[in-house]
Amino acid sequence: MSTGPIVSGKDPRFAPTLYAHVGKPDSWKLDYYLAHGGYQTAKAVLTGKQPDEVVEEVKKSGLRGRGGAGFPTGVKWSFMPKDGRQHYLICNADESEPASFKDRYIMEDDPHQLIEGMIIGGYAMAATKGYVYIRGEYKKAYERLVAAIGEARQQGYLGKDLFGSGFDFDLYVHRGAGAYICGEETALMNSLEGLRANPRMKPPFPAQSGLYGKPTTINNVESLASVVHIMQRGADWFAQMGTERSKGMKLYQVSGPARRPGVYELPMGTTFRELIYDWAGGPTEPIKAFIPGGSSTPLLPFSDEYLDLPMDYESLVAAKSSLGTGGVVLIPQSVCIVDAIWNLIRFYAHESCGKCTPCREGVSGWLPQLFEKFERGQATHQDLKTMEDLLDQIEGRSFCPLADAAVWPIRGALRHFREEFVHHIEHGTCAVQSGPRWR
Amino acid sequence: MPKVKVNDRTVEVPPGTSAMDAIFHAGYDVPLFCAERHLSPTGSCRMCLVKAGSPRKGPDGEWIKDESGEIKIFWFPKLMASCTLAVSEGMVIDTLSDEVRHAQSGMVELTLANHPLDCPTCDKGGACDLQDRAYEYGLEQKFYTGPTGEPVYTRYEFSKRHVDKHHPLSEFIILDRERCIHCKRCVRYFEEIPGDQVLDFIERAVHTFIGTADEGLPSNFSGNITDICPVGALLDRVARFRGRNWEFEQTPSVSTEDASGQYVWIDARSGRIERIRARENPELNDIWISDAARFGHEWVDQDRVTTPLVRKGGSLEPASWEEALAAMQKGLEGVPQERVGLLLPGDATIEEGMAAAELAKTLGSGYLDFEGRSAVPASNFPAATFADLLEADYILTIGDPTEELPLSHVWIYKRLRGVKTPPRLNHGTPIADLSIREHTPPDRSLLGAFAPYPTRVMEWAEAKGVFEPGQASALLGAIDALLAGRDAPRVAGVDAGALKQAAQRWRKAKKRVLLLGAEVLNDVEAAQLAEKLAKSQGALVLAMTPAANARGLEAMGVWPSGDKMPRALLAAADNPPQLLLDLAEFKVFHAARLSEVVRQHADVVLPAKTSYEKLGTLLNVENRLLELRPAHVEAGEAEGLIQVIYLFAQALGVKSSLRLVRQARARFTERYKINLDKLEEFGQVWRPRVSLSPRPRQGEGGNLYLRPSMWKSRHLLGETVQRALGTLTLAAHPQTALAEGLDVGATITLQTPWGTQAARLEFDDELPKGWFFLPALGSNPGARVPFKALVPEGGEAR
Amino acid sequence: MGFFDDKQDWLAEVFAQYPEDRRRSALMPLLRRVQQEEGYVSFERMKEIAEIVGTTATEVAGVMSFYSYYQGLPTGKYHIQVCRTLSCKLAGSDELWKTLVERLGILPGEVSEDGRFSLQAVECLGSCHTGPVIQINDEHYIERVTKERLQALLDGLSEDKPLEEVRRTLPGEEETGKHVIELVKGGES
Ligand SMILES: Cc1cc2nc3c(=O)[nH]c(=O)nc-3n(C[C@H](O)[C@H](O)[C@H](O)COP(=O)(O)O)c2cc1C
Ligand code: SF4
Ligand code: FES
Repeated sequence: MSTGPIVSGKDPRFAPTLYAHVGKPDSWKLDYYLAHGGYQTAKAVLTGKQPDEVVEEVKKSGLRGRGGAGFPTGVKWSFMPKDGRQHYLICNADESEPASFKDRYIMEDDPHQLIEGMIIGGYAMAATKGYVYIRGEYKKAYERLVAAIGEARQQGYLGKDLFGSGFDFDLYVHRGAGAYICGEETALMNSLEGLRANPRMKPPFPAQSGLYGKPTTINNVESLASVVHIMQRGADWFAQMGTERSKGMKLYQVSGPARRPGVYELPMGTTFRELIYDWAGGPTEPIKAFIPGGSSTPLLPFSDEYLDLPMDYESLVAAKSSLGTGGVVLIPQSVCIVDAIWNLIRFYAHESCGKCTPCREGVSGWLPQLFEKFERGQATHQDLKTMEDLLDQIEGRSFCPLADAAVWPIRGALRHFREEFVHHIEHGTCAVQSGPRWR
Repeated sequence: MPKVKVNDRTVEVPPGTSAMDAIFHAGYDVPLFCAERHLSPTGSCRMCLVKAGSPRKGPDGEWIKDESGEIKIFWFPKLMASCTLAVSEGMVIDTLSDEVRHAQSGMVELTLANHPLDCPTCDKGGACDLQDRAYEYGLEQKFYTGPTGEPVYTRYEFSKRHVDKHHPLSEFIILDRERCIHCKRCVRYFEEIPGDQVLDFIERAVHTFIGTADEGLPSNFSGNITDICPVGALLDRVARFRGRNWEFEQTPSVSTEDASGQYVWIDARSGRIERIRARENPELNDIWISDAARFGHEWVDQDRVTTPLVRKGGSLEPASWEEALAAMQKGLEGVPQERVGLLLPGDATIEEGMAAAELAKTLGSGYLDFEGRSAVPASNFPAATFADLLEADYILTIGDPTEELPLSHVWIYKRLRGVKTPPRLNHGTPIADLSIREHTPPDRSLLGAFAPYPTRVMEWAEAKGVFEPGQASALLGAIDALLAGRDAPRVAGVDAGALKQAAQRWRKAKKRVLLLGAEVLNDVEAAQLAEKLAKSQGALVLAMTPAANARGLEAMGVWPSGDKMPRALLAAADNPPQLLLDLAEFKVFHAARLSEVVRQHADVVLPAKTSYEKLGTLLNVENRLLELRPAHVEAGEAEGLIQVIYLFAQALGVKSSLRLVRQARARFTERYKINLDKLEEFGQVWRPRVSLSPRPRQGEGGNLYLRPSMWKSRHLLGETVQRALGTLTLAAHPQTALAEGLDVGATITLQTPWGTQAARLEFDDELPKGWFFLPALGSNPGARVPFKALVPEGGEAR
Repeated sequence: MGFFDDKQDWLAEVFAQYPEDRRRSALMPLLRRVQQEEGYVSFERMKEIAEIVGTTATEVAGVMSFYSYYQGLPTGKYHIQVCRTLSCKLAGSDELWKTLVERLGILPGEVSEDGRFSLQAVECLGSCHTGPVIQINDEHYIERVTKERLQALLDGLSEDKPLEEVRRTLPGEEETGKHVIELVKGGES
């Protein structure tokens, strides 16, 4: 197992990197970070490399955005104009997709890693100002991040003329206040500008006109943290992990009835089976389905066929789902699929921003009413047809992908567990009886 | 220019055009709710989905071809909202396929999901975009079949969202939240056109609703949201429940509420004006009108004079025209002809002005005047057009554009937001202009604003200042000095830095526009300095006189010359100066309603047509000829001024050659080679040569400043306007008021040379000390007059 | 007196984060500060904030009502936010919610008679592996809320002990606070 690409966390060549220090005492402090080689990479980059070289290196690594969409990070960076205007780098730390909680521990336990990543990113794109948009509920992460920024600023790692390179970079943290849509990059910018967080029209894309109308790039926490290691150990090191088009390591999350639910850093291409059984300790009760990549990704049956899928972008697309943010949720046999999906639909209904018709009236208005009808046992076959029609009318028609994100879980459920919906229609109740789950 | 293929037709449109506009330009239709001319496209209703694709170029720079050698079209993976999609060379757009129609019908269905079906009681019925589209798409049986295959027209069987159905946003506008389809037009409108952030979405998701947390809506441009609301969610409260859309006779005309000549539709029913709406004029008012132009019509059918009246034994009695003529002959007997005066309303037409000037000349009378005349003729200044404001790289306002020339407020804000003149397409103004962007902050460096009190446009100005009433000449003198490189004398209240900044920007600018208010136009010295500023530096001017047709009347020679006060008077104005009324022995009024002044002073009253009922021509502030057209209003024997002048001449025993508008127009054509019957669609610029000398106004002096206001006293006769404006406010710096023994909130009766007025005292510490400010209500904006304040009990406060 | 009158230094610090002509960006931090200290944002405060950042009360209301954290009505001293999204639901948050509603005798939007408690069901808090999760006010999460831990929590709060102290001394808090990384190692051994 020591040649070829690394596609298992058990490969001896693999060691946790992004999470190497998570959970260590005082890991969030500057002294700790410095003792473990902190800010050396930024220094080397700022004093030894041209911005373009950084962009090239990141491109070469094959890093794809970890915020869910998987867009190649280096390519995104190369969209930034070279125009001498104020540029911004925004770190998307909104992390509001149900089943995702990976970015949180980077900020709580290793905030300097993120800061260093942002310095490098800022340098690569001539962005002298950065914002971390952090979801409002992450109090601890916020406090640690702000403290870390303070420390870094004090040491001259932020501010003017970093490492004598002549490059200025400063960083601020802006807290959200409970709105999932703020994770969408243009809504995030509106929120940062003090406007209602409705998504903006694209084009213009953020790289042309983003925050305050200036060229802006938005990256996920994990993406930016990964950059530190790519620049430290090289694109080739990064690219040796993972599959053909999904490179590097990734933070996977497991929640639901597993023995050790949590975050696991593994190479891209690791199988669900390895994640769930070998790392998360396996389920604590019989499982019938799992959500592979966060609440918006269509669920898959908990069967050998799907458990053996490698966790990379392409394999999941082939399985008619998506890798998303890598948040796996185990759904036990004793829980009704209609009930579980209804929970997610309620989430999307609650989080719709209300800007466009299909999302406001469809996702937020009509779908919940249909689901309620199923829950009350009053749904008919016609309702199921209506629901499917409605999904057709919503999907691909909304202003931003939030509405699609609400459609997909239902699609997955109907694809694999249609009989549970039919059971609701024919028997007026759930196909399974769930006992109390609270301990 | 990109070539775009819409279904089977290929059209060329300017780069940056939206797919939606390309579709309309090609003569096809696409449904829409949220897109609206002059507002930023948002793509939120998703109604305008189309299928679109474009060719791509290969690495060799050639179009990529398909197997059959045709240029290959790469279709977008999803349907696209055509309002937010920019065209590109070779783009192909399909609006007719089943896929597209199906998606659009889905959006209609979703839009209707929570929309009440109360069309029978909705004012918008018959003119509702949603109703039309529901009718068009509602019969898509294919997708709406019941269990046994029978057509089903709705499958939305849940109870609709129930929210506030009668939510007054202001006295003028009522909101039905259930009907709102969240197109956001109204919100974008307020933010982008008048620049007020007073309306917004509240809450989110399906609970989102329109609301305001400020006190009502500012009533300058609020009414436009009732025009652009695609459904019946926002309604004009003056017009509510006064008729169905198909019952109105709609007359295209022009508003005479101010000197801009906004294009309006007058909707009348059974001889009564029920509603006024904006009429599009892309060169003038786009699709917007001021609230005064929209809501200020209620007085028209109140207290209407419908027959001639003659004073008999102290009271005015109905009479025939013959009797009126006889009474006039009798009253005018013995009055020397040169002592007969003519006072016109500020909105008298060019045709009427021509007749009046002819008569005055025949009589040899020097008292030929019009209401709202400024001391210095507006014609002295090189006129700017509103469109010039979009080109300007510096705008300097001395006065209060928002109140004095409401439209200029809108154009100034357009300029500051960087809006460009849109192209004209086959269907007119682009519906989704992609160059307009939401949340664009105004560029303050383009505007300097000075006035004797804080004005709305000052909020957008980098250089600004409040000077004392009467100090406009000091201000202009200081600017003049700065421009000449001299040290400027201090202007009390104005920050020297701000003045310097304004002068600097002015000097650097290539295209300058100067807006002058009553404060300058009525101060001969200030006006002359302003004229110098404009002429020596090459600036264009919007002279904001309160008279709708000041330039037209001046061009016809309606301007006083002698110093003798008339002994007999034909007064067609609302509020003639008190002195004039006191000195004239015999007074004929041409009036539409029996105001207090008329009741008190008239010897003979002749029933007048209002400007809503006349045919005639105006020359607006930009020197644009505009045509007034008569709406059908039931007004008894009311006659136009031209006929009345003819009769008045007859009573004087002289001959007038103009008895009909037609005759005046013929004379105009003869003189100026312009046919007023065939003006261009959006009005026609005409630059008459006028040379008149300044005529200072009388009765100045005192510390009550009559602040310009969009609203006129006649508007207050309307119930709604009355409620909206409430009691007038008398504003003063707290120190000034307290020194006079007046405290905040006190209700005061004011005696001024312009009549008696009730007002409530309010403090405003941004006002210059030593002055009181009262809305002029049309009588004499910018005048500084003495006043007496009486507290309600009749006790004298000072 | 205005809420921010004596917080000028703090205001200056907040504004320094954003470009000078973009004071409006401070809207959310200002709303948060009021919410934190007063438990809700009154209309008066909206107007004050509007004035400070240079906009209208309408805009402030529009922004404020968009987010679930800001409250338009007064909340209790302890505003308990219960996550109800899928992973927490699978860990029993429905029952936890019902228990709270019954025990405190209040519904969302209400404040308990003693002024101590108010309740809000919220969406995913980003701690799906340690459900059910609750957050009180703007403080650190309380994770893995078992019946036993809930009891101890409510007991502690009813005695008005400082929130952080109560949280730290909840039964099993030490285990709960441990990181999965450590747990993994524990699992391996
Ligand atoms: C509704 C919605 C919610 C999103 N939420 C998040 C989020 O919480 N965190 C995140 O990093 N990206 C989120 N995204 C994706 C971002 O829009 C954006 O693609 C991402 O931050 C880019 O960073 P990356 O290229 O590093 O992935 C969301 C997207 C949508 C449409
Ligand atoms: S009130 Fe009318 S204009 Fe305003 S958002 Fe609703 S539907 Fe649109
Ligand atoms: S999305 Fe509303 S008109 Fe295009």
